[in-house]
Amino acid sequence: MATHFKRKGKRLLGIDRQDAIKFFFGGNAMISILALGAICVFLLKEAVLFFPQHQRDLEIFRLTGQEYANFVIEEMEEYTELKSLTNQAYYQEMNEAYGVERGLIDSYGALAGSIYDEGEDLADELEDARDALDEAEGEAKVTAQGNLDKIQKQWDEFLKQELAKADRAMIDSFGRLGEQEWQQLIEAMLEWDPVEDVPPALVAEAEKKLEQGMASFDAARSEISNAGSELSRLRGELIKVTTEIKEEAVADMSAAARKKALLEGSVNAKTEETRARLKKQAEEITIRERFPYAERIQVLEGSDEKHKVAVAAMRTGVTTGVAGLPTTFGSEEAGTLIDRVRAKQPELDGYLAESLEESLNWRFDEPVGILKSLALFFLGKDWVTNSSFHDFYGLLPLFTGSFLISIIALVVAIPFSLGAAIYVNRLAGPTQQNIVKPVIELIEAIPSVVLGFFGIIVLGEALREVSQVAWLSWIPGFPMQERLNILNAGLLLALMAVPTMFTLCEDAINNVPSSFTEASLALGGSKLQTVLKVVVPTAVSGILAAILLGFGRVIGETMVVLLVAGNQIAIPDFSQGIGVITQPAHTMTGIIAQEMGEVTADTIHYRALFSVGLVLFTISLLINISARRIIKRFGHAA
Amino acid sequence: MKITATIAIGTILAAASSFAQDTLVFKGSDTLGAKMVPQLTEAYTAAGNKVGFEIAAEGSSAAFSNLLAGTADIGMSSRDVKAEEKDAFTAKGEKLVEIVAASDMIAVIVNDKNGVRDLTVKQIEGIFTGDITDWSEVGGKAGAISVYTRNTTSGTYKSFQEMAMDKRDYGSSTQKMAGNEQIAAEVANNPNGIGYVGLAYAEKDGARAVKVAGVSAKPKNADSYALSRKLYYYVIGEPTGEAKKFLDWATTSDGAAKVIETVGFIPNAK
Repeated sequence: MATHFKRKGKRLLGIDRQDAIKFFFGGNAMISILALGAICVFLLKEAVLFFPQHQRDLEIFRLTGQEYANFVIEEMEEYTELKSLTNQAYYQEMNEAYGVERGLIDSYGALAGSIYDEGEDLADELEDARDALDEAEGEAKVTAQGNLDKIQKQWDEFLKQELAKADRAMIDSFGRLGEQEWQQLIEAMLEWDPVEDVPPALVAEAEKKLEQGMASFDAARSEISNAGSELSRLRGELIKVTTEIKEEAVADMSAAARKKALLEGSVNAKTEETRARLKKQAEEITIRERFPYAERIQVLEGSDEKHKVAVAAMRTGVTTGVAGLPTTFGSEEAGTLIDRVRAKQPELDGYLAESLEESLNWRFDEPVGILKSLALFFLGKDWVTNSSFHDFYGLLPLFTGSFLISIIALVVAIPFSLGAAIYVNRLAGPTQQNIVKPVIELIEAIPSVVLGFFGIIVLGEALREVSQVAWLSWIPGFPMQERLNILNAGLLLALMAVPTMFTLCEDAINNVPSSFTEASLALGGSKLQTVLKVVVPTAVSGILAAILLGFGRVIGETMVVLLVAGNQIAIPDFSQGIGVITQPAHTMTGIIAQEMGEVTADTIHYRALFSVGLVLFTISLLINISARRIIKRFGHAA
Repeated sequence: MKITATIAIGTILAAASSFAQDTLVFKGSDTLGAKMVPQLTEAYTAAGNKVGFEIAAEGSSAAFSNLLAGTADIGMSSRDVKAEEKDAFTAKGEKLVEIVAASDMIAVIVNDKNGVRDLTVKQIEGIFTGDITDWSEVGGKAGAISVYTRNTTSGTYKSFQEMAMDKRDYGSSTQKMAGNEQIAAEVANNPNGIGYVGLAYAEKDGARAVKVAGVSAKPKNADSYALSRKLYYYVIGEPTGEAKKFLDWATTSDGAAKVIETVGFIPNAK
């Protein structure tokens, strides 16, 4: 190549100008490659180190007995679901069948509360005056009586005023009372005494009616609610003791570091006094060879027995409770909820038996393999950090979130970008081409944080409003509760992916040799036939590559998903079918952005985030490699 | 994401002199640094004190890392110092001094359309840990509860866990928001939403604070309200010079107390 240029000019260290230019560009390319290599090595090192550290963490989780406590925690979670359903049904039924009674009782409470808040001082005075009258003797009795009358009058006046200006929307916040009942309540309240605080007859009656009507349901519900009390107590106890062991063990592990810090400080301190104090503190710390787990874990002795008893109590309690639930309901929803409770009960029963069995076989000193560390990261369903019990690093909820959002983005972006590419390249006139192409490519210039704000304030709100429309409620996932959700994020990312995919699709279509189209047109094919039967099939490899690269673009996007996806670290509930897309989710990119700022270097949390980064990097790499493969393999057919 | 942090970074210069002057650098909690401290410094300069201020609000942890690195004069924190953070100061032979700045009450907010007006601490624990998932379980109209929390960097995230949740973990269905304002905005937009915010943010249109165990989140109830906490300034060694002057003013003067009240916190009792 250099032979095209005439060699002239001075040489420096045997390098002439042409060589210098060549080395300059070559050097730049080299630096990029080196930088990329350095990033890969750094990422890989931090990420891979996570797994042994995670293994160690899980080992401590086991050694300290926290894993044992976790059995109980999970059992309680399963049970709470059933209990929660029962409670929902109970209140649904109560609201529907005894709405007025509830309205009276609640309104009375709210009314009395707000009046008391306002007139607390006056009420106190009233009480004092009454006490004074009780204690007074002889002459003083008359004065006390007069005083009391005066205050009583003041109170009556005050009460009347307060009741007149009572805010009905605030007091009867669910609007359960009719006009007549409200007036009755206000009237009855005129007699209310802040010292005695006895509900008016009207309210007492409502209480009685409600109590009687719901008695059998209430009994069954209490049975279910109480079934968990034993296990709940055990849970609290186990969390407490095992967390204590863990804290001790962790303190023990950091004792060496602490001692070092104190010693360092004793050298660096400014005054003699602090120096001596730090030194003394350092000397007080003794470093143990190994933390005596076996000894400490003995506090768990007897837990097996308690656990057995608690689980048995729960199983019988739930079984009798569920059997005692009513079969007919005033509220349809209550009926559906109770059906779910009945279906869930045998499930819970089986789970409890299994979990108990497993916990009985649990041993604190069983070693944890590296495979478990890998499995819990890649297949773990919980990502819990900054926990006061134990941190879990499970990728699955984040991965599902990222994946769902990207799929939605692609599903929306493919038709738009492909359609636009076909139109611009084959159907549009030069003027249209000159407008459409730059405009689409301009979308890429919108900063993603701006798109994110647009997503929260405009798109999110609009989607939610539309989803509230009654006749659209047949659409799965509608009406949507959250404005920050998977769908919203997916739509925005589609917008971001369109320019990339459009440009690549257009290139692919442009690369179809003109002889192909000319041949098709010459054979009498229409313009549309030519596009659909000749151009698109020929360009399919390029289009596939465009889609893949679009996928790579969206899965790596951070700002939009962080702002718009709703940041709920849980695997979305797929039981809703396609409606799952209206739920919030968290993503792999989002979690790194959100949590990286707070973590201390080299901790397990820090490395876990790097591992997530590595997963993202691998996905992008695979996508790029396959896109290249596709073009290489099928590309030359065109 | 540190949107709030970048927004809150502001340098307020004394109007009178453009000469070289002392600058006090504040770093730390978003709860203090977003509203209270900037307004305090403004009032302080307006009162004729010639000193510059630089404020960055990035979360309580930043108070200690910056103090340690010597990049802040005064740390702001919505929680007290952790043992390991204290260790780091000890190692350098420094003594960390804690000064109570004000008290904060965490308000639990629900949407205006929600009829629930009062929650017990137990119910709040249930809602935020995921034991309670439907409004009907706490006396409201049926509807799945959407729970909005701060993200894990926030001091409030931990404080709330300690004050309201018996130190249990947040439920997996909670949604982690970047700041008080975002939580208030989501709750105001979602009839089934619930979240917690500093008292200063509870007055959002469309949202209202519920009573906790019958006590409303009002400054006069600071002692009886279940979810209240202290806010701190941290300095290295007993404060001297401009820092001492400012801190004395900010924690004891009537002018400062007024400012603290207007931003929704509760000034120290005299």
